[in-house]
Amino acid sequence: MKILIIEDEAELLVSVKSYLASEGFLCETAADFDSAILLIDMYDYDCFVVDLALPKGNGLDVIERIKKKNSNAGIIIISAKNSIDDKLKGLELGSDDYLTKPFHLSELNARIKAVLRRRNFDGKNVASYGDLKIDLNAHHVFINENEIILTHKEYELLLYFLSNRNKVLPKAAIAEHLLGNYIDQADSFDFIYSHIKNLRKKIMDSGGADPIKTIYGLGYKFLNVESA
Amino acid sequence: MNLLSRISLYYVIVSLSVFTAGGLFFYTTFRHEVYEELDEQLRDEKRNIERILSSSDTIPFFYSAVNSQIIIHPAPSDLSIKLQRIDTIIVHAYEGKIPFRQWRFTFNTDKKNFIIVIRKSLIDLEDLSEKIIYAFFISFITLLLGSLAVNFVLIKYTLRPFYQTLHQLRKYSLDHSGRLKVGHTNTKEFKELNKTLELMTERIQQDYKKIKEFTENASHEIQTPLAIIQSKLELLMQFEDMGDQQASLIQTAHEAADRLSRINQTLILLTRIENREFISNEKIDFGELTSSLLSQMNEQFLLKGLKTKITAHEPFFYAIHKTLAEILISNLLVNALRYSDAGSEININITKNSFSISNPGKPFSFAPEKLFQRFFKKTSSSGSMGIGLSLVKTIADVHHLKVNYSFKNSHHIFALVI
Repeated sequence: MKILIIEDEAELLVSVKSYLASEGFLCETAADFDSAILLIDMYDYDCFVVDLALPKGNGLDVIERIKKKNSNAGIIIISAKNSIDDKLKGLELGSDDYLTKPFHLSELNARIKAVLRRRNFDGKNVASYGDLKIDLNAHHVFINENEIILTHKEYELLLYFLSNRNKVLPKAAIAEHLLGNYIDQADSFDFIYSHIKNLRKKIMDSGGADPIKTIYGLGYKFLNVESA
Repeated sequence: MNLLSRISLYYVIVSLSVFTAGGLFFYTTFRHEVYEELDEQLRDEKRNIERILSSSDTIPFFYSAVNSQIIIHPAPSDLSIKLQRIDTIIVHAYEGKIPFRQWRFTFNTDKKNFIIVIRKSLIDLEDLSEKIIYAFFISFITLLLGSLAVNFVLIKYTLRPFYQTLHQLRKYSLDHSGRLKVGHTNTKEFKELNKTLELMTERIQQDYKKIKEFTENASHEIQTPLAIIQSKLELLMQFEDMGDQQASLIQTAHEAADRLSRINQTLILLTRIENREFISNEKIDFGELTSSLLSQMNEQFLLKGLKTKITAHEPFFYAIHKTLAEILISNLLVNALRYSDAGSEININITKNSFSISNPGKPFSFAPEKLFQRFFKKTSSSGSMGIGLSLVKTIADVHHLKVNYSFKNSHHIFALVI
C-alpha cells in the first residue's frame, strides 16, 4: 500500500512516516504544495494524508487535484484548525476523514486502515488474524469459528487494536478513540480498563489465546498474530 | 431611585425645611409684634385709669365693648397684686368664646383700694394669623410646585445627553459594536464624559481584539508542536527493550501532552462558540438526541451500575448547531455519570421549554455558581479538567438558554430553560 503524506511540519512528517512505515505502508512525503502536486500527477497512491495549511498553497486545492486525476484513493485531512467549514468542504471535495492536530499516530493509522478497508474489501469483508475472524460488514467476531458477542465499544476497541497490531497503544489514545473529544474524561481510564478486561475474557472464554498485553506504565499492545 | 426623582426629592426636602423655618420665624415675630402693640395699648389704658381714679372718689363708668373691657372693683385695703398679664378666654353671650389679652392689677389711692381688670380682644390677631398662615401656605405650595416643575423640565433637558450616552453604553458590546456612538452635546461636562467614554471604549476594544487574536493564535500555534511531542512520544513507546522507569516517564509526559492538547482544543472551541461560528436554524429534538447519546454512552453507565430514565412530557425543540447540542448534552450526562454513586438512577426530565438532568448526591460544600467557572475543580483528586460545565454554560449563553442548578431532595439538578 502506497501512501503520500503531505505535511509541512518536518518533524511531524517524520513521525507519521515512521509510524506508518512500521505498519508496512510504503510512504512518500511532500512538504509543500508544489512538490505535492508533482507527486500526485506522477504517481498513483492508495491513500493521501493531507495537511490543509501548506506553504504556497491550500490543502483543499491538493484534494481537488487528487480528485481531478480520477483517483480512487482514500484521503484523510489533518489540520490544526478544526474548522467545521474546512471539514465540510473537504468532505464535499471527496476526502474521507478529518483529523485535528494534535492526533495520536495510532488514531491516524486506524483511520487510514478503515478508509482502505472500505475501498478494497468490496464484496468479501472478512478479515482473519490467527484464530480470530471478523466480519467487517456484519460486525461479527469469531474465535475458532465460534462467534463471540461483543458490545459496541468492545467491537470498536478490538478493531482499533487490530489496526495497530504489535504497537503500544497509550491509554489516552484509546480513551479518545472510544469516547471522542470535548468531554471531560476523568474516569475514562477505568472505563477502558474494564473494557479491555471484558474483551480479553470473552476471547479467552472461547478458547482464544490472550492477545492483549499490558505494557507496564504505558498502555496496551495487541500481539501480532499471523494474518491468515 | 432615578436621578430626576432624587434631585426633586432633595429639592422638596430642602425647600420644606427652609419654608418651615422661615414660616415659624415669621409667625413668632408677627405674634410678638402684635402682643407688644396690645400691651402698649393696655399700658396706656392702665395709666389712664389710674389717673382718673386718683382724681375721683367714686368708681367712674368705663364703657366696655365686645373687644375691649374694663372692670373696676373696690378691694380690701390690704390687697396688693402684682400686675398679672395673661391670655384668657371669655364666653360672650352672642359671640361665643373670645380670646382676650388681660391685665389684672390693684391700685391704691389715699382713701381707697381698687382691683382692676382690663382686657383687649385677641380675635383680630387670631384671624389675622390664620389668614397669614393660610396665604403663606398657599404661596409656599404654589412656589414649590412651580419650581419643581421648572426644575424637572430643566434637569430632564440638560441631562438628555447623559441619558443618551447611558443608553448607548447599555447597548454596547465589545464583540459586536464597533465604536461607541454618543449623541451631540454642548454641555462641557457631558462633552468630556462622551469623549472619555469614546476613547476608553476604543482602547478597551483594541485591547480586547489583541487579546482575542493572541489567544486564538496561541491556541492554534500550540497545536503543531503538541502534535510533534505527542507523535514522538508515541514512537518512543514502541521501543521493545524499555525499562519500567523509562516507560513510566514516557507515559507521564504523554498523558500531560494529551491533557494539554484536550484543554487547548476545548479552549479553541469555547472561543469559536463565543465568536458565534456555529449558527444553525435547524431545530434539534433534545429528547431524541439524548436517547441517541445515551445509547452511545450506555456501556459507561452500565459499568457504574447506573440506570437512566427519560421522562418526556412534551418534546423540547431548540435551534442549535447539532455538534454543540451534542457537546451540551454529553457534558451534562458525563457530569451526572461522574458524580452519581454506583447503582443510583439518573433522571432526564423534558418539558416543552425545559430540559433537566438530575442525579442523587450530597450537597456541595462550595457556592454552586462556581460550578460553571472555567477550570474549577470540584475535588482536587477527580482528575477532571473542570471545563465541561463551563462549556455547557458558554453554549447555553450564546443560544440564550438559561442553565440552572438546584439541589432538591438530595438530587443535583441541572436544567436548561428557554
